[in-house]
Amino acid sequence: MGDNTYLHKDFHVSMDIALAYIDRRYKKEGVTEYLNRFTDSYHKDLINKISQEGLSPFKTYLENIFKAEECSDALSIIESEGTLHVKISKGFYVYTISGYSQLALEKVYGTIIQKAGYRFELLFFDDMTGACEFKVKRIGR
Amino acid sequence: MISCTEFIPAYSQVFKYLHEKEGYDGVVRFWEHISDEYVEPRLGKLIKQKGIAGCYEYWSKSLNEENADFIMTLDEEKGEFEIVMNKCPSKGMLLTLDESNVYPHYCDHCDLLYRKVVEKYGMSYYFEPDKDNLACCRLKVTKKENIR
Repeated sequence: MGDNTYLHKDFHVSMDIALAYIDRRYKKEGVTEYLNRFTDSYHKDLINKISQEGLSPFKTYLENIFKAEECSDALSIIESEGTLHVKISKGFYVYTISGYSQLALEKVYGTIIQKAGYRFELLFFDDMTGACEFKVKRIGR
Repeated sequence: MISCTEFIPAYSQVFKYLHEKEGYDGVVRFWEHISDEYVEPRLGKLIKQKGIAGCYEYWSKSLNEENADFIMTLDEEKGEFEIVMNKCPSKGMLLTLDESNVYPHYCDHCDLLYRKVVEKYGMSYYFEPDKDNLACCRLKVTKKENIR
């Protein structure tokens, strides 16, 4: 690798174009199916880790990607008794199609959490900025 | 949310998804779409403004931001621009993941995406893909009047 930081924000634009392309051909069901496949494949190690170790690996994951995106200050996590209360003041990027930023959050983070055996509860989502708030807790709490 | 640092496996999964639905031709149609929607307004615009030097400017930004290990040369007199990729960060990342994340024809997009734009502006495009999964490749853009 080179000596630079790996951060090519234009990739968000390409992802936006890709989601819009899938939407045009396969509607929201296709985009949902695609996001599920991505999460199942790419995040399976994280899902296993959360299943085995609890919510700490998810917290670390969020902190690391927000740091990589150079927006750590947009993330706030309150941890208490097997629960994470996550507040994000601004998303990395807002997709062009209304509702798809929320869909991506639910189908990626929500699926990671649910497959790891926890409950994902979305409390708030602003489709204009990607700001959101969600809680992650053990099932039954 | 999908971070831009997770884009490569996410993009690879788009190719896999479309291939399953529409076959390789469907993936090629998607690459043509990306070329028109993403590459043309960026690389195409720079080539239109600066000629072959626009290639240098476009890839300088993207490859440095992707932290690639490469050698890039521009010879405006000869009308030649070349990238020798010693370690492609995209392919390099895919090689660390299991096959459920990897589209086997992933590298083909680098041939089609840029060729479509470069050739539109009257230049030739040569792409030599990686061999044996070494994440090395080479591309060369040449002004057509300089081809002998």
